[in-house]
Amino acid sequence: MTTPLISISHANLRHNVATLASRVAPSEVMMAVKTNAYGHGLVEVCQTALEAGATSFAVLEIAAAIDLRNAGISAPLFAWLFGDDEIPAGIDHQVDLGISRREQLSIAGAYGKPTNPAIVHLKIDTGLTRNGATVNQWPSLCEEAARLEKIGNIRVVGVWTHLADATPQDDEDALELFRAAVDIARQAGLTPSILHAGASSAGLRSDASRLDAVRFGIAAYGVSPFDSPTANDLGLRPVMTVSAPVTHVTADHALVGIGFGHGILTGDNDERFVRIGSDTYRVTDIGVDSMRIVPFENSPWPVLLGARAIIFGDGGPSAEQLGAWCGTIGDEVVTSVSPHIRRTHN
Amino acid sequence: MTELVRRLIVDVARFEQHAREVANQAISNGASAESLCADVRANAYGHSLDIVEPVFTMSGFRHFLTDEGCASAAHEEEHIVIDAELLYGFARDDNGHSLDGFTRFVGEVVNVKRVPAGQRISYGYTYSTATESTVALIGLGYADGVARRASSVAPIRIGEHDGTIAGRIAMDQFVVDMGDASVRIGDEAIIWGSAALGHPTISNLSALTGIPPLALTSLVGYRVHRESSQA
Repeated sequence: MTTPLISISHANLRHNVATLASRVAPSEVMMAVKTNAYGHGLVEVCQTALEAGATSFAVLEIAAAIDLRNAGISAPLFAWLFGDDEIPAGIDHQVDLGISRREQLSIAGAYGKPTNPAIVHLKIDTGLTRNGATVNQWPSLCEEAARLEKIGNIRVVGVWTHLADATPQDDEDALELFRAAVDIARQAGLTPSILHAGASSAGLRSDASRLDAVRFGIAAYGVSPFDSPTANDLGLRPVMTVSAPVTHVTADHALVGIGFGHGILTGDNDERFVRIGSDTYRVTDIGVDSMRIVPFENSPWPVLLGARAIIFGDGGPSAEQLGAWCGTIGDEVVTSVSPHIRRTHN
Repeated sequence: MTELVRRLIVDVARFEQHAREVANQAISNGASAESLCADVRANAYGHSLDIVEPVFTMSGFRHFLTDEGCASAAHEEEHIVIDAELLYGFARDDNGHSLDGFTRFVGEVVNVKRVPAGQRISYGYTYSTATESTVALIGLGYADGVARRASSVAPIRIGEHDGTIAGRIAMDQFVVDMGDASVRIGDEAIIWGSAALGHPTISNLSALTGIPPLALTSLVGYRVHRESSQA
């Protein structure tokens, strides 16, 4: 094959989801599949993850939820980034809505009906300063939600937040605020049964963050959310592998047929490598559709025309390693890869 | 159903005028008009082939270098492929000045909060507000092409005011510290645009992140709607 290839290992995905599910049980896995399942392929990933023990999905957007409904996925789907005028479509497709503001609640309450109520997770901001009601806004948000629930137009099934993943103490402080917010919600008459706060980082290191569900994203794709431990240390295996063929060989360098036009991140760092078989080669330059490689230490030369270089993934550098070389994280490495590259699911 | 605003707007009128000047310059340097080839690899470096191909055709380009190679490969030796940085408006002149390309990258304010001094923002709490301030949440992230390396450094224009990205850019959202500027939910946020209009520029973002301009445009994600504008 002469073109770049994304290979998605469903065996590794299944292993990771099952590993995480057993680690956090009885908390459930609400797997994060935003952004085309972190670039891995939305529908395919959800089907495998359901078999492996995920019970619901965090989809971010209502459009993605509708795609999954159309593909026959009936599990709960949780969306939290949408325009106010998308709310009715979310209710039509039984999408769980992450709601932070009174205006959103009003629309949900106006469109939801006792026969098809809006399914709501109220968000409290516990310090990240993104979405979520502030501590001051929270009591009135809960009271309005309780009023709409009594009418039957909405059903508040969850309370949630995002943790900052700064220090364990910061996360514990945020959870303290979260528990206080849940108490206020209950005093207002709400009976949320799905409390969720932690994603991969907190879900792996803090029992207290797990609550009813953990929104595992990057860890389920086999990429560590930490600088250390590595994914391998955590018992996780890479799901995405990106490779490309050697297209040109000279006495001192070779070209590999993949570049920034395929969504491969560039960086200032000189320390950057690919693997061909069991040998390591240094990357010296990245163009739109090719990267220049040279021998590293004792790696054999010349490389064979057509040999496949692993850019990251199984048999090559990890996505988080490549992220570190580029001054970023593995999440950006996997989500940046172009959706137009040929891919196989196996 | 209207999704959140995520737009890459190509100023086709200015782009076409520029491409015609580039073509004419190549011809005056001895290239034949029949040989000019425009590099449109990687979906025209993220600009959208559908939008850019007519621009280059109208400017006098007869051939296109695509991901599959040159359209009429039998005559490859007769093609002159124009340097992509020059063609897309990112080449620097003798004074180090660039045209900053012909695109505007726009997102939407999805939440606004007034916060006290010392408020910590986004993952890792790497940023805190210096004074009481208004912060705006934008519905774009690194998956959309707002490079994470721009965290806490890149300027963002909302309305008539510039703010700075506050804390780490996440996959789908980031926060801007707007100080005392007035911001409303639904306002447009400009990641990059026209230097002449005072918008943040790709050149500046490139300098802040170390990512070349054409790599920045190529990284603009699949959720971002490409459209053309004469304005």
